[in-house]
Amino acid sequence: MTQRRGRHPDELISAAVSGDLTDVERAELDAHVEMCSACRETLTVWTEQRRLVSGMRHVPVPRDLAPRIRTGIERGAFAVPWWRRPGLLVGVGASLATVTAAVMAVVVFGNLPRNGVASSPSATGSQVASIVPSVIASESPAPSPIPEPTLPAIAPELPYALAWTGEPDSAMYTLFADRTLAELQLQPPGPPIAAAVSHPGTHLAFRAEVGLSGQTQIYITTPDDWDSTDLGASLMTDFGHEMAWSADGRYLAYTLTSPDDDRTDVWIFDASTGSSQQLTNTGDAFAASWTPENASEYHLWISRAADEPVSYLVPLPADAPPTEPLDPATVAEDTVQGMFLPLVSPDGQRMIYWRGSMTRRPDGAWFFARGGMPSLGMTATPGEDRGQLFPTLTPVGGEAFNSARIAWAPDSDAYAVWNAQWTGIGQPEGFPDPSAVYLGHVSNGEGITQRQALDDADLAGSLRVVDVALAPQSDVLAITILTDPGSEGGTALPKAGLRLVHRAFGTDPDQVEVLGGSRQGWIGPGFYWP
Amino acid sequence: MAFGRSVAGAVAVSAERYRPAAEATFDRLFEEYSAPIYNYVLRMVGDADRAADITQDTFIKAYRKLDSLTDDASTRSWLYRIATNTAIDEMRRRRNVRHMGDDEAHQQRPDHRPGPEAQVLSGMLDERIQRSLLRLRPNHRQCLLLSDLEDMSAHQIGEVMGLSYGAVRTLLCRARGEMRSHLAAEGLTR
Repeated sequence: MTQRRGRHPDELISAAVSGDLTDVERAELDAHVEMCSACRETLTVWTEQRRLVSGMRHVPVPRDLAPRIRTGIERGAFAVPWWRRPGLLVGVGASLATVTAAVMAVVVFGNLPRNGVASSPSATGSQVASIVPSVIASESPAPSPIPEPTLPAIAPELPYALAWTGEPDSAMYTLFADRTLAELQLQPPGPPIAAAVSHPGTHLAFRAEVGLSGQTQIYITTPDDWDSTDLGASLMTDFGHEMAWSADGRYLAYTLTSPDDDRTDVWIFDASTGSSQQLTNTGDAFAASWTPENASEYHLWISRAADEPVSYLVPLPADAPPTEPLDPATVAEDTVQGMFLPLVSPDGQRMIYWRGSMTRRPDGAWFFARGGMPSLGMTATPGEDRGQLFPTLTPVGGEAFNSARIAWAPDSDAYAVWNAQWTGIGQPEGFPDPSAVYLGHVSNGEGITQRQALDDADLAGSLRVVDVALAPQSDVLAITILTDPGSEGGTALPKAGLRLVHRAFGTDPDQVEVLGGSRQGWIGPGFYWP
Repeated sequence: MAFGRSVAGAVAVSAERYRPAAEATFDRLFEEYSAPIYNYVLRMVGDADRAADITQDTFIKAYRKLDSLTDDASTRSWLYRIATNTAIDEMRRRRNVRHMGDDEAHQQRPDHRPGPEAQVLSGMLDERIQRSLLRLRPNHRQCLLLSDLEDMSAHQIGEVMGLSYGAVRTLLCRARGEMRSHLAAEGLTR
């Protein structure tokens, strides 16, 4: 859709200059330009501008570029001379750095193999026939494996976090902990709302809101260069937030609800190939969690939403995922009627899942219309309830949860519940509270009651809980809260804060740290390297 | 826990990237795209040495990510995306140390670009256009160059910049407006 600024259709003029107009737009613009001298002039000037830019002189590629790239690949690192990297000039006068670099360059290049830049005959010739380095050539020994880059080390008590900061027109994503660790290579569509890192620490998946469109976008990035790959867009829904990494970090399973046709399906990203693909084709499927015992196969729990939902344990071959989207029912090793979205604990022993009757809103989002309640069970006997997660709540007339967000702690004992959308009467009044975060423990057998709510002061200033991540340390949570909704016109970005809550028990108050210090903007979500 | 595929497994996957089949693909990429990528980056950063460095990094990254290139049709967007991100990253790092005197060092660096006498006039015009480009915000400059220098459609620019079709058209419109004022200051347009 074309957006106009003022009464002049500048965007149409710009698109006309680029040759990007539809027939309808062309007719509309022609009619306007016929009557508007200002737009006629803009069209003329911008056309001339394009001619000037496109006519800029073509500069030949430096003749040493090919051998430089070959050397860079061969050395498994970027071959940009280190003294040219501005970060290394910090604290050193530029001229001194140049002199030092020249001396060092002699030393370094003197030790290069013969196909290095300094001594390669091809460095002075034209582009070589093959610029791929000798490590690939058949006469060379087998290449040494190059370890995948992983997240930089930080203090173990801290979470990693994404941040979205800057002015509306130039905001950027950064990764930080106690300091800024990296800038992500991505034009941010909006605030990041969830993140999950693979077990080896080689890939970070995150979900971001897309402006005010009601959609989210999932991205994958790596510590290699923080370049980001778009894994797809999705409508915002009540369920389907999970970004589940297989235990070894090879597969990421996630759910997309298509903005085009509202169909919800499971997708997977294969870190070994860098590619993603649609896994299911039923239009009502959600990725839940992986079982961790993948000796020769991977097993993913997939749920189909329905009046009576059903969950399937789907095996994926270790060599390659299926080539075509499938109906999970046709390949499932296990099928559990009435169970939805089983979240397997990190140790593979337990699961939290939903029971109830689901239906779909006009916008395509599935939710529990009647009797939606989360339960606790064991993976050895899936579907056999070992207790309600909220044992003191009783659905009356089917009024129960529409939805809630749930996550396990790495210790497989603690779990958090937030955004609890309870439709019934509070039991007691105000419980469960959609603005609260609850921290339960399997080991104490209490489930979630009011006693498990974090202190109100932990979330002071919160308009909404955006995300909760549980730390490897017991009873520590990284909670992202919305603190400022921003302006609808986009002139002021929304703001979020990241709180590190150390849960206390008895009468002691929780200990809260505000992460990000004096940073302004959107700080969060936090996440832990498992 | 008995995980079927360990971190060592992930490393083995990395080694697979270096299969011989990559050789021809990469050579073809370099042959076809090294010149346009270099010129695009040169117009992004306005410095021949930096453009060479960025182009170099771009192709090294491309080589390392070759396995993720599954669709021939998207090769151009994929490569320009890497180049764009690499250039932005370099500009950000450079901006961070500008106060350290790097600009002075830059100004003293000789210009190795070929400049025969016959191209003097054209070179002067180029310099004025280049100055105007460098005054644009980076995302405006990117968008304008991808459109006007690389002749990409709004859809293709969206693939490179990770933006929707509508966002690209809005951005390009703003870039043209900003460029107009800079070119006017150089006496090149009204």
